[in-house]
Amino acid sequence: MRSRYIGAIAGGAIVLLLTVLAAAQNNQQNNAPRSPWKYYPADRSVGDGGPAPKRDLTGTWAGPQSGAAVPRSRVNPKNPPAPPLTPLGQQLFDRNKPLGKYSPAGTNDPHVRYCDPYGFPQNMTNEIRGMTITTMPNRTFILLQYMDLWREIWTDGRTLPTNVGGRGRDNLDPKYNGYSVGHWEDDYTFVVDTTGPAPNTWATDSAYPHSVDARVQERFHRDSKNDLTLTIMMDDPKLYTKPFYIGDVHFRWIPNQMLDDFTCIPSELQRYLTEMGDPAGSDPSAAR
Amino acid sequence: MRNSLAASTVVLFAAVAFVATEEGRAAQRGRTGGDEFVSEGVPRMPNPPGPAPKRDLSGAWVGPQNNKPDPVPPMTPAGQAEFKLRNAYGTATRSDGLGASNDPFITCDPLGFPRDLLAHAVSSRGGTLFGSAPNRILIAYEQQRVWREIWTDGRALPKAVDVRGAPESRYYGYSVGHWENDNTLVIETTGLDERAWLDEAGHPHSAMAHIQERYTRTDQYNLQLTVTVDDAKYYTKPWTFMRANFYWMKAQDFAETLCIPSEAIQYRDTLARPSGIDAR
Repeated sequence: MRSRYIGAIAGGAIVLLLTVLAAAQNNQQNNAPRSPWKYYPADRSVGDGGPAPKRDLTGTWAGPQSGAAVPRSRVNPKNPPAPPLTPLGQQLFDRNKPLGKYSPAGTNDPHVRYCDPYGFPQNMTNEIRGMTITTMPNRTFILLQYMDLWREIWTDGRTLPTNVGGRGRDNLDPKYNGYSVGHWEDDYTFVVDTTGPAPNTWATDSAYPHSVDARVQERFHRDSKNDLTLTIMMDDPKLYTKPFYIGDVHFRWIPNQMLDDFTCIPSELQRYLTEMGDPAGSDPSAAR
Repeated sequence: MRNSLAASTVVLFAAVAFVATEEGRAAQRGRTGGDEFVSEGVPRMPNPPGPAPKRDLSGAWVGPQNNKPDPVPPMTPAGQAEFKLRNAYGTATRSDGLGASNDPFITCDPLGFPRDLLAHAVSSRGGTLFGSAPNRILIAYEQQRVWREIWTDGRALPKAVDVRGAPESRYYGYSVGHWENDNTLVIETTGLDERAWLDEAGHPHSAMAHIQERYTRTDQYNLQLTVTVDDAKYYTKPWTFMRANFYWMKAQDFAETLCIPSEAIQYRDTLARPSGIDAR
């Protein structure tokens, strides 16, 4: 049983090492019989597979951290260049201490310290190894591999709520995944608009904040049968002086449609922090 | 003893509270606001309901509820040994309080299958959603917002896990399904991560336990579930782990019900443990 302890804590070097080891192991097993229950990063779709089917994203896709050589982002959504922050935005950003700048003991990233949910939109840009998309008559579901988490996007024509957060009797609570609606802009572009994300989560791995009033637009463009590109734009005037282009994430069709399992286990993380992370100290150099 | 009981009661309420708060608020608002994004609670059921559509469970259901399981059968020596390591809370016979419990869900570790079937959202009757993708049925749960996939392409279950060439065990296992008739979907699951508990009492399951779920749609709005556990490593015989039912959810919309580790751990460390019960 492989340890499912998140790679985020260990840092980029360990992730790289694991990727290399996995690839090596995969090569060794090239001649072994394939299990239909396993994800093989080296078994990749060839080429673009032909034209994209119309208005159809259904299926299982490999993401940037899948080991399947998915095209790199033009703008890295884990650490994108942000527009100027408002004073409130700057105040919130200054409070956040991301891993990388800070050690595991020094960061206050709620996911790195506790396995708390990334929340939206970070859950579409961080630890993205794969996802499955499926539809029902009135909504689309995105089933993320990391943390076995699902999101729902209503496609029945409803409008987004305007009363999320606050103390009014009829106000809605913020959600970790926000409230989402979607529509097809054309035969190959599915547009998702989301608001009401839980404000205690971070918008990016690099600790940029968002408010509960943030409006996030995702554009899923099916470039071909085997290629899908997601771009993410956030408009949050409370915290940013201009709309924030968070970045692009690329996906490739998985031939056997299997994902492996990867999740953050809070008890294992606490053990790691108690035995190793916290004793290493909070000096920023401990992050390296 | 009295303190222990009081502490257990308090922590149970609190544990329930932090999971349920958000859903409870949403449900309250649903009664007053009527917003499309808010679950409506109990729908009015047409009487009589229409017939069940054939080979179709898709949509959102309230449940599983009204569980009537059989008693857990005697355990094997290996099962007893594993069970002794488990320190549950909230059960009548083994309650040592949350502060001393090693229930993995106290820190919001994954519930795993089939325990996730039991631990539906506490302030409602639970929420389960069936969908589909090519060659598979997808099941999504309100509690922890986790999902499973059930392969229907005729493949066989893995014969082993966690050995060379075999897949790794998983919290939600590996599942295959087929329609036994037009109204009954049968799902077989194995390959479970042994870190997860079978139930709140701390009963163990082995990685190669075999779990069968039988979903029978009796009419348009009602669904019955029977779950059988067959785990020869830990139990002397198979038994019916669940007999429960679902009804069609009118609003088709769940609340977001999540156990948040930072809140759960902070609660355990600042309230439950200082209340006088040391963790093991």
